[in-house]
Amino acid sequence: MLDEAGPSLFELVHLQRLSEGLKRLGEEAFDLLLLDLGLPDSQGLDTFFTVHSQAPGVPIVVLTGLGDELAAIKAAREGAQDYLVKEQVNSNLLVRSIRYALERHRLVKEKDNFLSTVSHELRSPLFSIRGFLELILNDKVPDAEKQRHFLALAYEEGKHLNSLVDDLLDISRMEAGQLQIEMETVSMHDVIHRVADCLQNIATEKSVDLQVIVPASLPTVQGDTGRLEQAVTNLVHNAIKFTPQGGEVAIRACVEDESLMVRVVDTGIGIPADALPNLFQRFYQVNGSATREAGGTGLGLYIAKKIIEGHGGRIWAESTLGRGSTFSFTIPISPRP
Amino acid sequence: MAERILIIEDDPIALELIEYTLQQEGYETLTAPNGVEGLVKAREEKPDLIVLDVMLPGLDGFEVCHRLRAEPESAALPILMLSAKAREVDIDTGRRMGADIYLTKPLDLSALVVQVDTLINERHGDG
Repeated sequence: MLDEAGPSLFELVHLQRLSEGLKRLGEEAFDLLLLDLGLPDSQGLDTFFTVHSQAPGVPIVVLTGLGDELAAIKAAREGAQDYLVKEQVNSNLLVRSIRYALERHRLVKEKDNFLSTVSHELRSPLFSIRGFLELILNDKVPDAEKQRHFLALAYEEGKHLNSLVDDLLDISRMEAGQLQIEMETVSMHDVIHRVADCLQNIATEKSVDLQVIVPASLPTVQGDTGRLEQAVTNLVHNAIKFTPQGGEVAIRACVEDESLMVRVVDTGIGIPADALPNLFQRFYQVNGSATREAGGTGLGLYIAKKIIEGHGGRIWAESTLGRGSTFSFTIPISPRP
Repeated sequence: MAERILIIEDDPIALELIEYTLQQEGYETLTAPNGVEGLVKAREEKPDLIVLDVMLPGLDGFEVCHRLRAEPESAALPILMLSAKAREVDIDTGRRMGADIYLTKPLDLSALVVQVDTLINERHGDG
């Protein structure tokens, strides 16, 4: 049936015995297993368990005969993505079932990866905070200056942990569909100026020139002032962070079609082309190492994206490695009363 | 002569903490901020034990451990993996790659020291 649906859909390997299947699983990686519970060398639920333990990370769709559904249902409870009754399946159903199984599996893996990263990112600063305090409390740091230094480090780690917790809770709320967009009239002109004022200090410290080019006549939008300020802050903060001494960051706003467009343009280190599609993912860091190097939580862009999209807008990035980057977003302008 | 411990850890704050702790216990420490440099230092300096983080830029700790075990000179080198990657699958992977001990962060430094002492003494016991 899969052959009918078109060999162009999936690459198929067809084996008829469990022993052959297990051998193949040991040699090659597969994206999905279509497993007949009634094979010549193995029957029923055991077939599923054997295969599943051999390849625990691979999604399985089990096939069963009419009247043998009990085993298939049990397999589904024990981790099979789906079950199909051979006599009742047509090629459409089969293809759909396979597609859903692949997608569900991908989402579970993504969630696992995210949780694993969250766990790692929270545990790392905790290790340092606890450690430095343990040393001092156990009188292992006799030198007063060293003590002070360790306390300062623990304090910094505490602040980092704080930012992480704040960001993660934000994300958690957003994911739960509780992104409370308090709808009010927002002056992006004022928002941008406020953000620039707030971040002026860190720009000055780095001798980065921070400019705001926003017409006073910029129309208002309907949205959540606090959240929009958060989104702009995340973009501008990133721009300053990745722009070396003597560089420039400019925040521009204008009207484009029926939207308000904001662009944060920097003359920083830029972003490699293959990293661009992944930028707005959670914990994504361009150089692939742990989040600590970049000094942020790795969640700022993801949060900005959620906020902008929650306002019905779009956000994207353009960049030339070594020359600079531009992060842009649009928000629909409020309808005239 | 003091035993020498190579610490492979990319977080500079965690590195400072681990280094200081081990130095307080009388160990001499060497450090590397990533896997590639760690492997080079392990070959050149022949430490008595390696404290190995998992989340490293480039080669991760699992790969580093695997490579150390694959080379005859470092195949018997005591390796203690210390990581905030704390899922069962991570601990499993660490053991499979050949780590002698896998400890998860956060943990009491006193516990870390006990494990380091034990591993180093075991080695001398064999020698």
